[in-house]
Amino acid sequence: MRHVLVALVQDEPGMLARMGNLFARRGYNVESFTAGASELPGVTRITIVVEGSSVALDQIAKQFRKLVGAFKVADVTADTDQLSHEMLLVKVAVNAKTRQEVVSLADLFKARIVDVSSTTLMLEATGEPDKLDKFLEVLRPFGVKEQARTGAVFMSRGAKILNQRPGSASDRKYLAE
Amino acid sequence: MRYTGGEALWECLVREGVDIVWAYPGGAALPLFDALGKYPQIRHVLVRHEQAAAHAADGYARATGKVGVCVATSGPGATNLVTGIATAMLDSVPVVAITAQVADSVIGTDAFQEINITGITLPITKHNYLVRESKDLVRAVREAFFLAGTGRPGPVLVDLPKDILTKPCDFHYPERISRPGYRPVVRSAPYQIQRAAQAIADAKCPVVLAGHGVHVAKAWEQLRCFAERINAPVVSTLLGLSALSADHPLCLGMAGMHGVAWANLAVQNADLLIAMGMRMDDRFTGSLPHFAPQAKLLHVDIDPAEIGKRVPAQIPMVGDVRFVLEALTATVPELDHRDWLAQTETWRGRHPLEVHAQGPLPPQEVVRALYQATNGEGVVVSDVGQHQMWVAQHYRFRRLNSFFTSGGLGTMGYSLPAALGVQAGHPTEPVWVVVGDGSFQMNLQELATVTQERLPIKIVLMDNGYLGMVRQWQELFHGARYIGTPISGPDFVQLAGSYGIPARRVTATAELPAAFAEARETDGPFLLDCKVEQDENVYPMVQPGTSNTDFVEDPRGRAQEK
Repeated sequence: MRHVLVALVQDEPGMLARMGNLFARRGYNVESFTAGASELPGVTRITIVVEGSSVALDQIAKQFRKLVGAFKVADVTADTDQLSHEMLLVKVAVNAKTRQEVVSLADLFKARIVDVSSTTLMLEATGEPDKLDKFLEVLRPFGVKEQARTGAVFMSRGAKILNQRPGSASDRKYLAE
Repeated sequence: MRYTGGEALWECLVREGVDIVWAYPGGAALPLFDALGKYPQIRHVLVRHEQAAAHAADGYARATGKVGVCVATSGPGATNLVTGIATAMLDSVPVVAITAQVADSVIGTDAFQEINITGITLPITKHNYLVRESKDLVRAVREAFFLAGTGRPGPVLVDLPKDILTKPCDFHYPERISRPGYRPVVRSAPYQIQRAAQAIADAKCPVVLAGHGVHVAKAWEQLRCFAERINAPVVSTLLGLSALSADHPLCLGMAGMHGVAWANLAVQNADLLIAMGMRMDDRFTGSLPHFAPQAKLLHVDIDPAEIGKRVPAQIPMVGDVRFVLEALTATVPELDHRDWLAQTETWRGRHPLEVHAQGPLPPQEVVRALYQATNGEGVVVSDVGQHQMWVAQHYRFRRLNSFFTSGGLGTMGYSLPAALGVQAGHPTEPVWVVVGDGSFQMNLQELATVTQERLPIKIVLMDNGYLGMVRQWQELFHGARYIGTPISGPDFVQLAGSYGIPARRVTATAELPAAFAEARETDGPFLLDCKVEQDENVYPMVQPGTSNTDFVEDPRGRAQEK
């Protein structure tokens, strides 16, 4: 089953390798892995999409939480009320005859035209990964010369937030003991 | 105060209360060793191989509960630590490994003796650091000790480039550290204690499982009080041995693949397992579908990832074993399980641990003689293999935290170097090393360290000319084709002599009492080369993939109904 893990980790060297090792030691191939600044200074938000058994993923999430520098790790697979968006850049072959058709497909998928040459169009699209799959499918007959996808990022709808504030009072309490 | 990086490191170690390190110098480590000269309060033991430094730090940590420290140079020095670090990782032992690294400016260029040791040790450390700026050195070392010794302990490595060791380093030792997100849960919630207490009160046939966590938490007294309060038998894992005196009427000894029959039967027939600081290792559980089929599991561990990892826990409890045992003892009513205890004694009577071996010197008799010679109160370090299992079975540990061995990783060659550290923790009494001729030959270079440090380490060599445990598996599961397991060795008595260590050869059971007396009474180290029976097997044995109820007993023993 496909699982989605979302994590907040300290932005420091080696963090990526430590996370990767959790999957690599089990021979898991990560489908997508995105990392970027979170709302907290010095804290990176990670989204990982990976195929695997629930038992194994549960163990991976537990081991992930144990990494020094990992604040929050959640398996959000079962969370239905959420957004999962990714971005796609795609370079499509066009000629005078097909250019307009590609432009109207872009319109249909709310994609932006970000670069134009005499033989290509570069389009930028965002949305659910499935939508981007479909967009690529309809573009393929024209000739997809190059594509780049960011991998999905996830966020729950409504007031729910992932952040559990790091450096909380209980951290210091433990140290004092 | 300004120090060089090298001095700053030792300043940190002094503040962490370190008074001994096991170390091996080298090019990149030179500034570090140079600075060590200014710190006479830190005793430096020169080992003969870096692996031994890591095992010694590990043995010291197990014996004292303090963080053990080993030091190595870059490249091969660092990679030689790897087996020792992995051993500490698998057994949750607090070790700080300091490695020197090539100068920061040449990192990543495959410089002479450069190796990416933080990369190599990433999966076998609790955490590690590569210090690339002087300002980060003190914090990294401070954090390393904090992380190694708190929560579920484990090894932490700090890699220090040579130029960082020579450059000036601002020294400010932080009183407190905060590692956001690192927050081991020590105290379980009151509702969990209540729920656990209720399950214990409801149980008819409870068994307490004592793991290494009891030692780590120094919860020996709490374990005894708890077991006495609920009158439940206590079964140990390999590393849980000596958590409760073997003389205690509730102590059943070790269960698992080579566990004693009555302990396995108690676990298999229990209706509640109260697991304290153990991880349901496959050598302990046997076939999972057959493991303790009627039992609920109350699983206590400080590491949430261990709970439910192999055996589902109906009552999971994250917390420090000592805290939980105290809280439970205060909450549960006094219980009476005399029928259940009588049942375990019946099993003990039906499946006694007897020596059926023929020949002049059965290996089990060597362990029994060691027990006699030390009155069960010796400090024992065992290596890995058949002799390890015979120690676990036949040595009745009457003294708390007196048994040290590599459990999780099963590292052959562990015992002699680990004994260097155990000895540092028990400076006034002999340390007994029980080792096979295979394991001994993996790290016997440390005999030189033993002599150099004049340590009263008594080596009991179980010399059978085989890699015995592997030979046993070949006999049982590979058609007795002994490929790669017959092993020769030197004349061990002469070998010891060339290191200046007195030694004696033992070839018959009758010689054992006098031999052990001589070993004990000789000042300093001693080696007993015990020429034991070559083809003895360890029994009882639960064959891989079978239930712990289906242990195979020594076929030479009386056939008994289960």
